[in-house]
Amino acid sequence: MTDDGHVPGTSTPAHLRERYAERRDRIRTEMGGERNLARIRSRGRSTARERLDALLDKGSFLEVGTFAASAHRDLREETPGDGLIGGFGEIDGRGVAVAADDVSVRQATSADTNQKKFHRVLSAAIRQRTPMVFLAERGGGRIPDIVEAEGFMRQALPDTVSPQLLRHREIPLVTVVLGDSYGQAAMIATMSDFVVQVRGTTFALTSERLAGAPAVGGGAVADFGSAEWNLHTTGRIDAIAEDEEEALALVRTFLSFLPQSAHDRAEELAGPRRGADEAFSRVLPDRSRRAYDGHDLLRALFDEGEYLELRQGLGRSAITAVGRIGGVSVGVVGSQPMAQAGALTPEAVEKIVRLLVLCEAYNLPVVFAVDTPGFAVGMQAEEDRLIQRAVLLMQAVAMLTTPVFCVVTRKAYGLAFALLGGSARTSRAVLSWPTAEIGFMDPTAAAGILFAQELRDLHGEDRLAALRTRAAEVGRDFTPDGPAAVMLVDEIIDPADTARWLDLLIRRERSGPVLPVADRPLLTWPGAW
Amino acid sequence: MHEIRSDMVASVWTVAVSVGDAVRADDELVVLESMKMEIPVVAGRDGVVTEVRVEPGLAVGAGDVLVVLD
Repeated sequence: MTDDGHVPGTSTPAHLRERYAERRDRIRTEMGGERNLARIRSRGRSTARERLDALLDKGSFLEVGTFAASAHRDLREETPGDGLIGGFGEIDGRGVAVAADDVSVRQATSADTNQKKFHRVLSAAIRQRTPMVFLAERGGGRIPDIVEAEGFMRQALPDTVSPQLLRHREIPLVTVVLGDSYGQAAMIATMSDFVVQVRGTTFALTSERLAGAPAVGGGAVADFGSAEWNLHTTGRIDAIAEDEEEALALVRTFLSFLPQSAHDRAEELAGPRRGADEAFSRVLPDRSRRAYDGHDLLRALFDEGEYLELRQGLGRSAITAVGRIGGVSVGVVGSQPMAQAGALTPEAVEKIVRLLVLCEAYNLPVVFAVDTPGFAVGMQAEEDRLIQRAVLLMQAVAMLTTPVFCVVTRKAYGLAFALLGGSARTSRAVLSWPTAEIGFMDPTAAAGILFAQELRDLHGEDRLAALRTRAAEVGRDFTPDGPAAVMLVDEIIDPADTARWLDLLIRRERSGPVLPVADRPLLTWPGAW
Repeated sequence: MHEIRSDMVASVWTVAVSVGDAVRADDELVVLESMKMEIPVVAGRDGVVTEVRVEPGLAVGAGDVLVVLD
């Protein structure tokens, strides 16, 4: 029962305390009723309370809104918590706020009270300067609440919106899709810093039935709402978890690399400093034209080879990840030569901007590790609005106040190099490996254009030989020697010293208190575009 | 039956296998060329090559099948 029904002043304090304790227990045990709980179990899923239990440190949870229910009095009995469980707890000893959809109550559909509860908890988290974790499993808007005009307006056009959701990033917001989720869940995920989806769940803005209806354009997608679809096609998630346990572990990992809020720096782990490491010298293949897995470099770069990759499925020619170097949390933008030779696509550019905003918000230094032949230009790129994305990146980079470092490992061509920390104005240090190739364009492509006349008259092997000769001529001046001679490159380093260098720079370049959030415009960068 | 596909627009540079070859997960089947780079495509699983659908010089698109394993 959500309404005790007692008459105030007619019971002793001890009696009332006991009654409320009983009610609390009942609400927490029965939740949305045995039938609905059984349905959850039959699907192999956990209840919202079990999930919070698994996520939070034992005994740390204090619940908010246990006795909340539907704004419709006649529905109070059947809507404990109004389908959302909120409160405060700890993860690995650090404070967090949480909100978990209780799908046993009216499919956890969005309604007045649970919206209020969500925003109440989020506002508290911002004031308290702790991260917030949202465990999602919900339908869309609740019927009957949204059916009438005033119901719809009250829900969809609330009087106040949290500054966090208006893009004033102040605390890490994490969304974990643990069951089928639609509507508001998609919105909150879009505004989140980290999103995980469990394989086998469906996650989309609208249900497949609505999305595929002829009235809205129709059509069908084979794996609509699937984790794979969201990773690779919609790009709305960072990672897929095989099950709930893994999803919650990923949340813990993500939070472990971040500070509690935009006002802090992440905790620095004590431990050995990074020294010389031959692993770096094994990353590049012998042939400069040969692709390799960009993750090899990240494994050498991050402490213990451990890191969390973000937006894995989209813009694969770049890799964005967070981890630690010398115990200090950093964000890294790497190249992925295996995907389109590491050429920057619009999606890759968007993904990089996302990482820069995350690092700026949570005071992580940024390391660009560059091996790219440039932007993926062409007819399609023009139509895919590549240059618009490139300008977005340029502007985001210009707004960074967190320290930026650049390591050129191999190719660094064109505008892409400028936008990946190549400018000495952007980066506190530009380090170059001996294998760096720096120029306005890939030499073979450049030779093809500069000597087009000559090559047009040749064929087959002769043409290839001439192209190679001309490319070598053009590329002869693409070594890092020229830039190093005029201090456009700070140092040409032994690759084995890469981590040793970054360990020193990251530590020493990080001085003074964190800048006020008001002085960091990138924190208000749009959450999506 | 497993279809090994290209995940990018590229041309086929070299083909390292023939029908009937037994391959291991990290064996290279084909090397693609994209943006002047050689990009190896590995088997990803143990198996036997049942079809080779490409030859050097062929242009392929994202999703095109290169090799089929049993």
